[in-house]
Amino acid sequence: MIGQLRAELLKQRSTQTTLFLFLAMFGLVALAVTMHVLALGAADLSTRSHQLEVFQVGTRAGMLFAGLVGAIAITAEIRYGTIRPTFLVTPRRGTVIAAKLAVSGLAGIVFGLLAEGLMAGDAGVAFAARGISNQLTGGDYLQVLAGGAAAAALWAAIGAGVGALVRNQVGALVGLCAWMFLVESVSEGFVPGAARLMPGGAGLALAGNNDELSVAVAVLLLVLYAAAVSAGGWVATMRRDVA
Amino acid sequence: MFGRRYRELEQPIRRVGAVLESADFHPARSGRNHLGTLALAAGLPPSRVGEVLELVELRSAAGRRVRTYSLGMRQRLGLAAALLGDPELLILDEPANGLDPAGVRWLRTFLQKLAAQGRTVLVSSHLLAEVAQTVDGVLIIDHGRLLASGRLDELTRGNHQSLEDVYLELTAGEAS
Repeated sequence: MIGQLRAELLKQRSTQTTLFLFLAMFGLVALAVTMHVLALGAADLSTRSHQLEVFQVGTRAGMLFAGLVGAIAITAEIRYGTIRPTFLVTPRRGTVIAAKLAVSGLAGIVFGLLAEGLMAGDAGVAFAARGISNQLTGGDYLQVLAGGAAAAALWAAIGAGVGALVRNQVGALVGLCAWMFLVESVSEGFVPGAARLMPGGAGLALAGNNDELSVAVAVLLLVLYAAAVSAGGWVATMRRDVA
Repeated sequence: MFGRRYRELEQPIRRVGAVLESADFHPARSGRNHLGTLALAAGLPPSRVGEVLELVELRSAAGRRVRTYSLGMRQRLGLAAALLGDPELLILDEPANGLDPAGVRWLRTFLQKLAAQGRTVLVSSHLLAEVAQTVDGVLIIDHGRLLASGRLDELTRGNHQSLEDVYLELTAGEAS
């Protein structure tokens, strides 16, 4: 298992995909946070809860890009056929999936921390530029970082599960983006009660971006989602033929 | 395989090396890193990567991304992956497909060298003239059924028939 983990880490490091994803996330967070802070009126940014809501941008970006990393860890192998030599070397497919989940989760933590850290820095500068007093406490920052990293790690497992189920790379990536930006966003407007229970909604509560769910319930929900989707991907990988 | 299912073999890469497709590489990964991921997963020492690169004469291109490799170089990288575990059995599916004459000759010499070391090299191919120049024994399979097996010189009656004639005779009889 240690060897398989090291192999998966090398796979992550040995192409530029992870770097490109990070740069895309960096650009998205910087743009979205800056526009958010500049577009809203000062009154809408004055309280602690308003400011925490702005931080949703970083949490969402961390979760989404962690999900993409997880999905690519599996779909790239299927797309380029490297799944064949991978399974020839390690025919116990469960070992490969477990290593991919672990390494994707680790990458998810890194993406979550980077997204939240970048957002906190960017929002801090933007607040200061507009003369808005920063109401967030050390505890808020700690929850944003730790909760955002945990939510992103669990989203990475969801992404890996989606990748194993869908197998088509474009389909998996478009599906994850559509879920985050369409399904969850639209649900927030029309059925907010359901939206807060969805994987993205639970992640926002975990990072303290809203107080619609307790942290314990948010953790439980996200763990259940990650376990269910990755178990589905696991079963599909064990059963399906590798053409 | 060796009396057991493949997935039940302890470290199968040390018993069997297989190349099932000629293009199973991430185009943005270097040849050395492609082999490195497989060596790590198999628990083989990193030095083995350099050894197999040397064997297939790819050391100078090892740091380049696979997308810059020619078809012949990709075939050799696939062979290097199959040889990582120094296996006693090699299974190669259409290894000469798309190779230029120099590549075909290189492959023939290389496979014969591996067989001379005492390994079994099983090649599946439709290029019968090339097969006839390379192998010791032949199995003719048509639509999943084994029609003939034996030494090449026995099947071709001491080279009085070409392997292609033998194949077409057998499969024509099967079709009628």
